[in-house]
Amino acid sequence: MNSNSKKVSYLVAGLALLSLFSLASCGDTSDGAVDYTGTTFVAGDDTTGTISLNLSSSTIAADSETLFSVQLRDSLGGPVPGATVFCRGESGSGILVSDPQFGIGLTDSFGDMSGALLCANPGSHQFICELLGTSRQVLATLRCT
Amino acid sequence: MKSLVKLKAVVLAALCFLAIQSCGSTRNDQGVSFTAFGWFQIEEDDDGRLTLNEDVRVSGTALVRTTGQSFPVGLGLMNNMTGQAIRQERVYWDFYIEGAALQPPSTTMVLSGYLAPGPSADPADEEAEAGTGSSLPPGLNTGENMVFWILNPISFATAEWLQTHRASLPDAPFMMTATARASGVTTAGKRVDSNSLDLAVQVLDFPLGFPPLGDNEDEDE
Repeated sequence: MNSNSKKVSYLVAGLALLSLFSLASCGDTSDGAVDYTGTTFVAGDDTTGTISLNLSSSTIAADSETLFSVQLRDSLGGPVPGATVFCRGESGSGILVSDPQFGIGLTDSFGDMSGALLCANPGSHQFICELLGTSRQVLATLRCT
Repeated sequence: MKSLVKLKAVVLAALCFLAIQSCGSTRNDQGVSFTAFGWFQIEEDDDGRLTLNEDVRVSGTALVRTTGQSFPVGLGLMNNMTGQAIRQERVYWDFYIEGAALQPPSTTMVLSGYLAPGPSADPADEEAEAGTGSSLPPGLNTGENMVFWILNPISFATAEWLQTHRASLPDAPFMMTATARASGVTTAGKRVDSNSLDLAVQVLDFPLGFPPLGDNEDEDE
């Protein structure tokens, strides 16, 4: 047997061992485990966008009005037009949204919605705006004196 | 003689390659081992409980984008392997909207359950029951090899994404294809995925005018 034939024989023997090792490893019963971390889509500022709220004045006299505006942005920072926003005061606060009616309005082409609210009861109250049908909501504190 | 040895070496190398490639493969594209076999209608009884109607197959469901409300459907899964059970773990969802500038992100949902081995493949055994061809312990051999799940294909987060990325989507109503693929582990420890199954989702949008929610009832007083 010359040196080339020996080399081929060693190669054949090596491949046969590799094959046996490979087939033997198929019997492992733990290789089906998968780490699912991060595979479920979760809503958040960086994935479903942001909502922000501005009050023209955070302190107003009772029975007087102030203006507010809501800005909706998608996850890329672009405006969200035509979305339904619902704004209201916390329960028992006496905050009434005089515009838009019932506190429900649509965002414009810039992703903004604006309106006016009336504060009836003196005190510190929460004013809430939410994108209807989602978890996107924002709160602001309004003091009625 | 030399060429014969070389030929043998090449053939053996090819066989080795095939052996390595076939080991651990989880490809089940056609769902032969683990089958997602259809979508089924969900009905609500008088008490408001959801029940699945196995007799009515459906091809789609709907999502009301403005309110985030989506409607559940039934998913049928079956284990066809006679020797192994499947422990189901998740369902993977992918979405596609024709004409959209952005596509909804993929997600997974938990799908915990056990599918017993399928019946024996012996055609002479007309009364074969699930697991009769398996060598698994008796406790793992009993049970159904077919299951129906009640799923809501549109998670709240996905509905929210559709709501906030409306500028990148066609005007509602539009159609969205939701593709589901169940995944689990066999009793041998191998990962196995079912075939993919498409579902047509009609994304609706309601104009202003539905009743407001919550405290603004104060205004009516």
